[in-house]
Amino acid sequence: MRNEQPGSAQTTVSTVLLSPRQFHKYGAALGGEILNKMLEEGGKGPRFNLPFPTWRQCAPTLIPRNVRPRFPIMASALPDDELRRELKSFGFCPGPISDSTRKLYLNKLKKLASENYSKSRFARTQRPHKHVLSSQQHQTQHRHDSLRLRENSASPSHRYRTSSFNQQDSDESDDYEAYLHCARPADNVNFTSYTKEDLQKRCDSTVKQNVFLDRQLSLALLTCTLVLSAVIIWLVYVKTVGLGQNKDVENNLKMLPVDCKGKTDTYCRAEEHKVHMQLLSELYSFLAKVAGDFECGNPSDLKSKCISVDDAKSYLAILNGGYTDRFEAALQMIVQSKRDLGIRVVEPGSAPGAVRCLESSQPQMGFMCRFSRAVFSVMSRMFIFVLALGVLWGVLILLRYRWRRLQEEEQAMYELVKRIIGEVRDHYKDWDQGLEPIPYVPIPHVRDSLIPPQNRQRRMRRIWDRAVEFLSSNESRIRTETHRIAGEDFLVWRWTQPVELSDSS
Amino acid sequence: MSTTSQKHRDFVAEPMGDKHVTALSGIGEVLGKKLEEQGFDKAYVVLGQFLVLRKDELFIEWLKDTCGANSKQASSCYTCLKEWCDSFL
Repeated sequence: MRNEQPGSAQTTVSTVLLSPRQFHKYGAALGGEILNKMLEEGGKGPRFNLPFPTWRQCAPTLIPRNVRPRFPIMASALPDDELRRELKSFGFCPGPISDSTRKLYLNKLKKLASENYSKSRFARTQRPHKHVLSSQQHQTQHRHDSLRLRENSASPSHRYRTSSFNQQDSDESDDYEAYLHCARPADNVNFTSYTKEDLQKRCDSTVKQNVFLDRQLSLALLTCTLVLSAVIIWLVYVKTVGLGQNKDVENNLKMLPVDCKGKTDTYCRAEEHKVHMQLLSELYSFLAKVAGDFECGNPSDLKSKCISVDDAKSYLAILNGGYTDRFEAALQMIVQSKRDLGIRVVEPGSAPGAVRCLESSQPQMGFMCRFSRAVFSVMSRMFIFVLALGVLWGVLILLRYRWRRLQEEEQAMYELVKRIIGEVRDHYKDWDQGLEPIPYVPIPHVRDSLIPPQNRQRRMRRIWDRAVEFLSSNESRIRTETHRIAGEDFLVWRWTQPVELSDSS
Repeated sequence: MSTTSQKHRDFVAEPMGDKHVTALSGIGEVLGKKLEEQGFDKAYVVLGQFLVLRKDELFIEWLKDTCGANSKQASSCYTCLKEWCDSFL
């Protein structure tokens, strides 16, 4: 035993140890006021800052080794105050000793005594300077920890935490080091976390799929458009140029004028026929012109392209006097002819006041007129297809836009998830260092610390909800719980991985 | 999710008032009856014992001795009362 000056007891409690001579000298002070005061003052150190006066109340009374009762204790024989004193000597603060608690405290005393006995034996062989208070210190520290406002998670981790307060005692800390090793099984080391590369890979796969689909669709639509436009152009051309003129009519109407009136021989009949044909050709071109004019904007304000017989007759008379006689015969020919002469005879029919009139079945129109009419008719027929194509293009553009938006949102969500994980872990680290009172953090608080107020309600709301969903299903290091904090129930996040084993993402 | 049971959460959420001892987490019908026989018919009486033992883990042993609870039940009850005290005491 060391020779300690009593004054040095005021530095720290742990160095107080009295030699037998000192014990006899200060024997009266044992358990008395002076010693207690020394202990109290010695106990005031930065390590023992507590809101409760329990440590002082529980100031262990020193009983040097040679005065201590030998083991095993006849515990059942101890009266209550003896029991209390014994327990206090080990640094354990008992509550009221009553019928219900007596047995418990006796067992506790036995346990403490046997522990200390074995420890002191070990200490005596290895370190002669080992003092008594170290075990008491642990007990009090243990008490201090349980008095802290702490969540009582698994008890090994409870022990694990007390090691942080162990500053001096190395051989007692061996005990705690043993706990350190078996405190938390390394089941989290093989955990595959969402590293940045993984997240990027997930993003990339969806992007690729979208781009592929996008490309296919736009290619398909492009070909459709090209095909349709080609078809339209071809149709327009066809309508403009006309599917081949009726050569027969042209041939039929070319002839030489011959005077063959009244004669009925074959030659003359042929000549008559030729003249008739010429007449008809004139008539045809006249009628075609009229019809063309009528169709193409009607500059002369005709009521219809059907010219009455009388008007046709008068026109032909202007052209050639000889036509008037042959007119009726020509009409007959038209009516009887099986070939298509390009002239149609419209009978009066049932409409009152209608006259027999002639109409051209092949109106002769100018190029621009034909072109415009062709375009118009083609477009009106193709209208449905063009419309459908336009709609599909619009849909494709919308889809592309939507895909881009979704991609952006997903990126934002993963970014937010990373930030949340960082935040929860930092909170846990702070709590571990004693800067925070609770190990878990309410979810709304995390949101409010990560998202500025202007974005909370509208812009980031969906992203936040998705991030929360993602975390609750895909992140196993963070646990979602419900707790009551300051009287209000909150959903909280708790970081469950020990700090040393977490990854660096 | 969390390792606390629904019973625990329900008990810790509000002042215990006049709740029966079976409202404690870890105390079921059988244990509740045994505690009743010993005189601990309400949760607050057990709380009293818990406080008398200075909220120490000795309470677990006491519970084991008194009603024959196993370690799991006793620790659960201990945790339950401890948390309740943290919130309301």
